[in-house]
Amino acid sequence: MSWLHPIRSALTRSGILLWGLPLALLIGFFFFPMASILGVMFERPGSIILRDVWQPLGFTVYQALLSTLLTLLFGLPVAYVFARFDFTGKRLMRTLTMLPFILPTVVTAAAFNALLGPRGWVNLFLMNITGAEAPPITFLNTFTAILVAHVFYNIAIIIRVVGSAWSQLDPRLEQSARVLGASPWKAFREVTLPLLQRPILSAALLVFLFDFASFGVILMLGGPAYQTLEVAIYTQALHYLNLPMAGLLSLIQLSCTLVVMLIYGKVNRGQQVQLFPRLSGEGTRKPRTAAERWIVTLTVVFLFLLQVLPLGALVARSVTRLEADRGQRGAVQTGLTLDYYRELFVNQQQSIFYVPPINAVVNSLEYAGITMVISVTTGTLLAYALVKKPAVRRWLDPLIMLPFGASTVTLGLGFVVAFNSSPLARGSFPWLVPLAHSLIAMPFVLRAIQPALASIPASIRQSAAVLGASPFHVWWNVEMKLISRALLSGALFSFTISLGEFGATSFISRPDNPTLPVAIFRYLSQPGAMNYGQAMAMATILILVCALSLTLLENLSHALVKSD
Amino acid sequence: MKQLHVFFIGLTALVFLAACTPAASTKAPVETTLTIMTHDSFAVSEDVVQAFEEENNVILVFLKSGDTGAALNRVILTKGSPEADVFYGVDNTFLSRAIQEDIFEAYAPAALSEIPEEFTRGLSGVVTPIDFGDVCINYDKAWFTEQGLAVPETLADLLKPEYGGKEGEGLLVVENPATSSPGLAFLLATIAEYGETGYLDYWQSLKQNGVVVVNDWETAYYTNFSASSGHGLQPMVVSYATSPAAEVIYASEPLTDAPTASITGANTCFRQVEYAGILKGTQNLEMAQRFIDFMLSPRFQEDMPLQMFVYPVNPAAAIPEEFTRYAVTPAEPAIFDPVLIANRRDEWIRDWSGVMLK
Amino acid sequence: MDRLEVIDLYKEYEGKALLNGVNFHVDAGETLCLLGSSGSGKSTILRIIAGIETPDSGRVLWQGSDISAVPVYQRNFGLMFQDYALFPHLTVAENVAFGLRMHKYPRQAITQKVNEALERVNMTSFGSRHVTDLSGGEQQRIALARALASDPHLLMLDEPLAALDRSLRVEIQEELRTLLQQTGIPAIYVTHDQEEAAILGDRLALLHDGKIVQCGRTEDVYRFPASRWVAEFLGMTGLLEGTVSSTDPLGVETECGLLHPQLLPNAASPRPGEQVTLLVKPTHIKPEPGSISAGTITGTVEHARFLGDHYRIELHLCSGTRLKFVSSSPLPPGQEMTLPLRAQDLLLLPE
Repeated sequence: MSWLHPIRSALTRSGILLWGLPLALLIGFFFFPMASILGVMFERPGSIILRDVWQPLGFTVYQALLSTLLTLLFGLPVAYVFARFDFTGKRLMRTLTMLPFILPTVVTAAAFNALLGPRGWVNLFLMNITGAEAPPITFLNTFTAILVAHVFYNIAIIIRVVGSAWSQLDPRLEQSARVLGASPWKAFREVTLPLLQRPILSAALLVFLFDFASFGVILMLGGPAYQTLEVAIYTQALHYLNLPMAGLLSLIQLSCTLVVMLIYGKVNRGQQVQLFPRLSGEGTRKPRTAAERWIVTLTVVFLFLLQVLPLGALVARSVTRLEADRGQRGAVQTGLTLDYYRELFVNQQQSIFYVPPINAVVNSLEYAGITMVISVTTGTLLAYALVKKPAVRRWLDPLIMLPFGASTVTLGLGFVVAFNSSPLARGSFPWLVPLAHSLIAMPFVLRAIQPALASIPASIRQSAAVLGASPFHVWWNVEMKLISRALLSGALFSFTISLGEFGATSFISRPDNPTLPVAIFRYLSQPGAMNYGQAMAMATILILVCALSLTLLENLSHALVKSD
Repeated sequence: MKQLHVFFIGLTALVFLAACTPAASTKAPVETTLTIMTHDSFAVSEDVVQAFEEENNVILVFLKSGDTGAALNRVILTKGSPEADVFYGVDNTFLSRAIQEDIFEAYAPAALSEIPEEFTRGLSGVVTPIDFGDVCINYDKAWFTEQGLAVPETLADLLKPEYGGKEGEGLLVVENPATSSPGLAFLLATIAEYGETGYLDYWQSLKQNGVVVVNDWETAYYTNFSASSGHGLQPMVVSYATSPAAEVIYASEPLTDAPTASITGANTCFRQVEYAGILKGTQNLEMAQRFIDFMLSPRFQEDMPLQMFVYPVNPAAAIPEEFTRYAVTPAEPAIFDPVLIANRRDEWIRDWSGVMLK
Repeated sequence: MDRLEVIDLYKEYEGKALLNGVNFHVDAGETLCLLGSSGSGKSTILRIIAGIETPDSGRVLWQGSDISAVPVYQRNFGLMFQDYALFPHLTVAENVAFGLRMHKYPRQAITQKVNEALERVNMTSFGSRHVTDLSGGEQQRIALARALASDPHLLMLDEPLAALDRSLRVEIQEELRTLLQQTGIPAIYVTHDQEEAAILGDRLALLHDGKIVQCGRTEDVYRFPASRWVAEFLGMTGLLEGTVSSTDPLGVETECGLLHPQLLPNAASPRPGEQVTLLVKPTHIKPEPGSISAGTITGTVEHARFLGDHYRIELHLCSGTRLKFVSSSPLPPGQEMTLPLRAQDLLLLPE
């Protein structure tokens, strides 16, 4: 195509850029450190006990499968409601569902404890009305807690990925199935579901991989009876100092991810959904019948229970003093207080590591911002590369998903080994944290952008060129504008992933630049009501910062689509 | 249209801001830098650091590297070309492993002679003890008063039915020794009391008496323990002897008395000692030695208690009032040979898991 | 002089020759209709002229000079796509302004030209609407306004009316015709609908098997279709097979008897015994007697369809060939009738 010539000749030179930049990131900050550490691990003293492999491996697969199924089961109806109905507070709900995504597990555990713990709001309430002595609900340290937490964390992926594809699905397809005599269920089963196969599989895969590598949820909400591979790696590496065993478990975890990705590649042969809107606002409408109103109401209530209540309990806890129910502390009053927030701004112990909350917020936002730029840039480059050569996807996908299946502990140690005494050494290289975050965020960005890019009809580009748009203008004034929604959605994910990421950060962040999650953990690691309250207050700030950034980004994307 | 431009300009600005800020905050390297690798719980006062920096014309950089195990791993993996000059925070449960790995440069500060023999025994001058803390069972004072129940005094007392309950509903919460350092310390205390042959039976009975096991200190303390802000169900928790003092210092309202106290009977507590050592391969040997000296000096030693809730090993250092008032130092904590711990700990933990988590 | 010449275009697709030496030209002020069945490569020719695709060989000349090296965005040719390819992220006015912005018109000029363009297609009040909110016909007009806004040297329209309903199509055909005449921009109009081509084209070019099989003024093409394929493609009926029996006068033996067809202008005389196709030209036949020079032909009335103000009669000729023609009065089905043929009613088509 001759109009492509200028770009193409630039690209054969910068084809290196198109593929090179993302791959360099992947190789430099994933494969290289991973290979370095695995090489070292097996040379260290230690013992490999095979029977300690099967139990965590089996449990990891089992809980990940079950969690993914449950997330789909609850997520798909919600995705449907978001895709097909307009209702008050829809945008607010969409933003709220993203919030759990950013919460470090420490905070989630605290939130669930505040809500469902032995002295959580629910148990207190039930004990009050039934007069029972013991709390009727045991939630923490159960398998249920793991499943609920996984649904809590990952339902946003289903809602976003499937919901957006669903809302773009031409409603006439389902309508024509209905006209041809299909019941609503049949129409869904025979038409909608097959058409949504790609986004559903794609979202389920992400959820599965997240659950597969689950660490904090298992450790803090599941309790000692449950052990995933990631937990086993953590214990073997950092408590037994048994590095060969940790290395073996890491390899198994990586191989599993690879196998899952290969199966996914084989299974995922569904139709590409037409993501190009035919008419604006088509397909979404206000609920009309009583049944539809019920469905919408139920969805909102469900999301409220799952997402808002735990977060609300946490926020409530950050402004409540609960100490006066013990006799001897007569001077102390139960009640509302802003003390925890006030104390955040005081370096009571004159510690050199004290970080004002503003700084933690700024650090977090900075990291999140850089992560967003890096992952959106590399993700877009990859998306372009894939649109040009779709066949490559089959081997590229497993590669870029591998960081998901990598143990944070192992990768963290990998950074140490790989970049020790190099210019990238941790202490002097502030970009290491956002680079690590970008690796996790890149698959999300790619998944958001690639379908949008692929669904732009060739005639749109060509017509722009005929109208006098140079290749640059075709890219900037047409393609970028058309995928701006997808870009922003990818940006949103990468931003939130970075804000909440704790595992890798705790390994490589510099003590004078802690992110919000790291700061929260610092407060939680010491006894005292004030520390606990401050941790809750800091968590509330994290939630607020995140909610604010999300709303801002959402509004921006809305304004963009409306104004252009 | 306009919004998108603003958005991208904003993004670019953010990147530049981000790129510049950390660079701007690092001071120009006019003086030498001494890097100290340590664990996440490390804390120190600003003025103490400043005093050392000014006196020695040096900049101190602290590398916090996760928990003790993670930090130690880092040091071991970068053996030979260390990221830091000094490592602080290896404790007696990890010590002999660190010594086996041969990561430390031998150094015995002059002030070592003033340190009680208890802390220096068998160290052969490789590492220097800096602080210690006792892992003890904390109890909820108000709860025991309200229930009119006597506080248990020994490990054996914990098996009594009045402190028990149905499985997982007893009065004591402990941490998993495989994932928690106080959990391991308490396991060691029971081994000290009952010996390698008897401790598993003890834990079996403890399990039957309803002991609650959780993975980490944060959960045990803030979720399960009844006297913490979490208001859990267990009035007894494995924590530190200094935790009651921390409860007073970090109370949300001024307290006249600690809400918790420690059980300090013989062998109910395990004493953790933390050491500092100079890493082999350092380019700043002399400065590192000076910093170790400084850590043993009263200035640093007196700063530690309120920063990290540990006791100084130097008897010359004054103990803060909160410690003397609200914390009790056990007279007979469990004591272990670090070599024995290093050789047997994995097996002990595995056997313990076999009894407790199946 | 504004003249576009297409010379010897060759283009292969997946090993098959799609364009096999295409030649034609368009002059200032005229509309050329490019006709061909779907998949014949009509759109590819447009895309090659626009610069979106490159031919394997061949040249495109504009005002006499080869423009192969000029990138698409510098040619300033207008191209209207079959699916309109409106930018869904822009409003109507922004869509129309796009080309003007790309050609760096000053802001005021853009506003003025956008208004002019919208006026031209009677869509002035739609400026701030979103294109995704428009109906098909409205989108079509916007696409046209957009293509015309920056005064292109050449306008290409790729089956622009295919997606519209009949009444709208007829209406817009008229508008288009007027518009093309008013602006005087040379235009290439691609379609597979011969009626549309007849209405819009000053000249027709028929594309078949990768070649232009006939090119000429619309009436000429209709009067003298150059081959059986052309006749069939233009919807003509009454094709008879036969063998040349004599050359002077020309006589062809068919199942309907001996007939005396006319030769196409400039056509060579056939040899005796040659297999040929005759075209009975229904447009000229009148079922009344006249100067019978070409012979007579008999058939049975199959049916007569009422089409508003006239009847379309379908005859089955002797050989079973269909022949359709227009009549002002109905004829009863089953009626036998004999058609007298005048010289201009019967053509001999080369195979």
